[in-house]
Amino acid sequence: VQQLRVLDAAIPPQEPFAPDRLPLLVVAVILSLVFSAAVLFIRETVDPTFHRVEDLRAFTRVPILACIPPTSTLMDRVGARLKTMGALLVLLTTLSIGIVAAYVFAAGNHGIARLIARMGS
Amino acid sequence: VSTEVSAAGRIEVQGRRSPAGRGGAIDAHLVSLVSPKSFEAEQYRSLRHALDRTRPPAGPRVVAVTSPGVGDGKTTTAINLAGAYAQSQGARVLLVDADMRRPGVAVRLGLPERSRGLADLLADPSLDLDAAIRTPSEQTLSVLTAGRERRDPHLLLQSDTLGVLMHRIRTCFDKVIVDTPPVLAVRDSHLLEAFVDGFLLVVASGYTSRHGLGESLDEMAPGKVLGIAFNRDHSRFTGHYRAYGRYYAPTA
Repeated sequence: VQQLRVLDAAIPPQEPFAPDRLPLLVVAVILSLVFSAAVLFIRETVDPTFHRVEDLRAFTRVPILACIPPTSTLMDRVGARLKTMGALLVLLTTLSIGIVAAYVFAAGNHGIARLIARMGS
Repeated sequence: VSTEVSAAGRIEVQGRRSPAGRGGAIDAHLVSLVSPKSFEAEQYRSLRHALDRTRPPAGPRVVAVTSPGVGDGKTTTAINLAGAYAQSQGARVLLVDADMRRPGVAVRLGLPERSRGLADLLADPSLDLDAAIRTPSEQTLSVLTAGRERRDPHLLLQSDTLGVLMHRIRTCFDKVIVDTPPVLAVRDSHLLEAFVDGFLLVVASGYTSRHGLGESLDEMAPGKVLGIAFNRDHSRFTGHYRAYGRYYAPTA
């Protein structure tokens, strides 16, 4: 008669075993910094316009008689405010859709749900 | 033609208003006209003084305002500069819209668009300058709009009438600001070159390209370029410059 004995019980891990998120996070942060710096650099070098009066002075010896600030009327300011509010609304909508989608996607997957919960806290 | 024009005396500048009901409001961006005490209007006054110093002692009499391309703020600068000159007591200042392809002065000043203007004076030498001059409501500035004549502007500017008209304008006004077409778009501004004392070039921050400015300067006669107005300059007018300006702003 052969008996089955449990020599070492399998214990399900409390935390996900893989992947190791910390190195991934570090790499992602570094990559995003490098990428944004590269985009900024390219934009600055490709941008053919003048941003400061010093740029203009360096470009030509024609005298610069005046620097005129942008004139913003009440309507311009209201327009700009509305635009900002619109952009904020779009951002909030996108974010909430993303959050809801993540929750729906992660439903039943306790590992992902725990991760999201921890990110949120 | 020439006898008819030279026989005419000085024209009456004051008092002509745009016809009631047809004229609209003046664009709020024209600070020299709508809020002459503002910080923004002060910048156009300093442009005016800098411009006057380029041709001592009295400064250039006829200034053409141009820019490399469309959208640099050429018309806004021209109107505000004319407004800055018109702030002087008793100054006879005329603003001419010579950008007959894309006229912008009449609309901005709330003047009727389809009335006699520069193009009509050039097309019909028998017309009197006086009949085409308008004054926006509550302003002392005289305006010659682009006009309703739709003949090719290049041909109109090539006619001998232009010289006669500019001579007449010089005898009637102390300062003349001419809004001209962009340098790189058409070759109209070359035709005006002989009749103006110099060009003011408008360069917009973050908009006008280096290439465009370089090409424009190559195109223009070097002796005729009075200087550059750097438009929509954000960099200088933030922080305490701006606060300093507020100090002088009128309290309503």
